[in-house]
Order: sequence, then C-alpha cells, then structure tokens
Amino acid sequence: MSNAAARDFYAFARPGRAIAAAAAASPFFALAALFLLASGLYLAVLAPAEWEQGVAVKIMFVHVPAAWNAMMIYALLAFASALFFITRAPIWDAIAAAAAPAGAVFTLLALATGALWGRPVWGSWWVWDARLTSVLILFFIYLGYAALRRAIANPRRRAHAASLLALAGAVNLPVVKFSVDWWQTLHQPASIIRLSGPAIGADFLAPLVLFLLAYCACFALLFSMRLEAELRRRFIAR
Amino acid sequence: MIYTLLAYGVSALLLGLALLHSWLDLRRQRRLAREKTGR
Repeated sequence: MSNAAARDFYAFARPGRAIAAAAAASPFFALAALFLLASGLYLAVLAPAEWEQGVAVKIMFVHVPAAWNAMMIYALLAFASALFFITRAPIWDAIAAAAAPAGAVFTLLALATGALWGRPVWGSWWVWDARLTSVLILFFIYLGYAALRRAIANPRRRAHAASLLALAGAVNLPVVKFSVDWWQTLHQPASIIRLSGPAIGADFLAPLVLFLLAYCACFALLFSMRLEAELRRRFIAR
Repeated sequence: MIYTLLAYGVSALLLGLALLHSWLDLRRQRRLAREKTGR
C-alpha cells in the first residue's frame, strides 16, 4: 500500500464505521423521539395551570429543554472542535459539522418559545436583558459557524477555521448559563438545576424531564442523519 | 391559551422542518453514493 493510500485508509476507516453506526441508530432514535414526545405531550396536557401565569406556564415544557439542548449541543460542538484541533482527525470535524445545524434549530426554538412566553407573562416579546441577549449571541455564533463553513471551499482550511471559531465562541457558554446570576435580569434564575434541588413540583417536573429526553432523542436523530450525510458527501466528493 | 398553542405549534413546525431537511439531504447522499458505486 502506497503512503497516500495508507493515509486515505486510516483517515476514512473510522468514518466508514461511523456511517454504518449512524444508519443503524437513526430508526431507534426516531422511535424513541416519537414515544417520548407523545408521553411528554400527554403529561403536559394533564399538568395543572399555574395560579399567576395560567396555561402559559406550560410553554416551559417546550422552552426550557430547547434552551438546555442549545447549550449542550454547543458544548459538544466545542468539544469536537477541540479534538479536531488536537488530533486533526477528519471525523471530529464531521461531528462538529453535523451537530451545528441542530444546535441552531434548538437555539431558535428557545428564542421563539421564549418570546411567546414573555408576551403573556412579562407583557413583552423581547427585552435586552443578559440572558436573552447572550442566547441571541449564541444563535448568531451558530449562524456564523454555518456561514464560515459555506464560505471556504478548501476542506482543510474550512475545518481549521471552523474549529477555531467554535472554540472562540465557547466563551459565550458560561455567560449564557450564569447571566442570570451575574446581572439583574428579567429572566428568572435557575430553578431546576440548583444545589438545593428543583424549585418546581412533580406535576411540572415530569413533563419537563420527558420533553428534555424527547428533545435529546430528536437531536440524536438529527445528528445521526446529518453525520451520515456529511460523511457520505466527503466520500463522494473525493 | 393562544400563546401556549402557538409555542407548541412553532416547536413542532421547526423540529419537523429540521428533521425533514436532514432526511431529504441524507436520502440524496445515499442515492448519490449508490449511483457512484453502482450498488
């Protein structure tokens, strides 16, 4: 085997297995997403209305998990980008490229459902407080990442520049998480993930957890389909 | 009530569009791979 052929073999041997794994996993993720979404929706309908917010409180079940996913997916994007930066293995760039569009979708979901929750509860679609603004910046980082990937034709340069942007953008992640503690915000502080335990009742916690799992399954499905397509695109382009 | 319904509707629409877009792209890549390898 020539040096070039050996390099190609090692560079794509693992992506070949990743294609098979992603193709096999997608149907399971789809079934899990359907089941979890249906159960979450059922419990959301059964959940009581809150005395102050009324049924608008049920927007929490689609808003909070979307915001958590937006952040977790960015953490995965930054992690894969860091590993690409260190190892230069193309699979990490493919993983980052496959995760980013799903992250943008969940961030947009968090922003849209947040506006629809803010209108009846705060009396405003949007306020420029630290939490909302930092999530909007997260959305722009996702868009910038996608634009950068489209702007550079050379795969090596594209992967290098995209990993750098993803790593630089990770600075925004703790700002999103702690913005409600660091600044005075209209957005409420953390009420689920706290050292003293969740501040909401079981009637609200159960559908919230189910929707979180459902959104994770949706992400897994989106990610596995995008990863398979991304890897196939790279094989065909060669 | 209208805001709650809108929030669930927008969520279903966005997630549905994202899944549809990914699925169509994957289907296209699978077809291209089949055409290239002749299998």
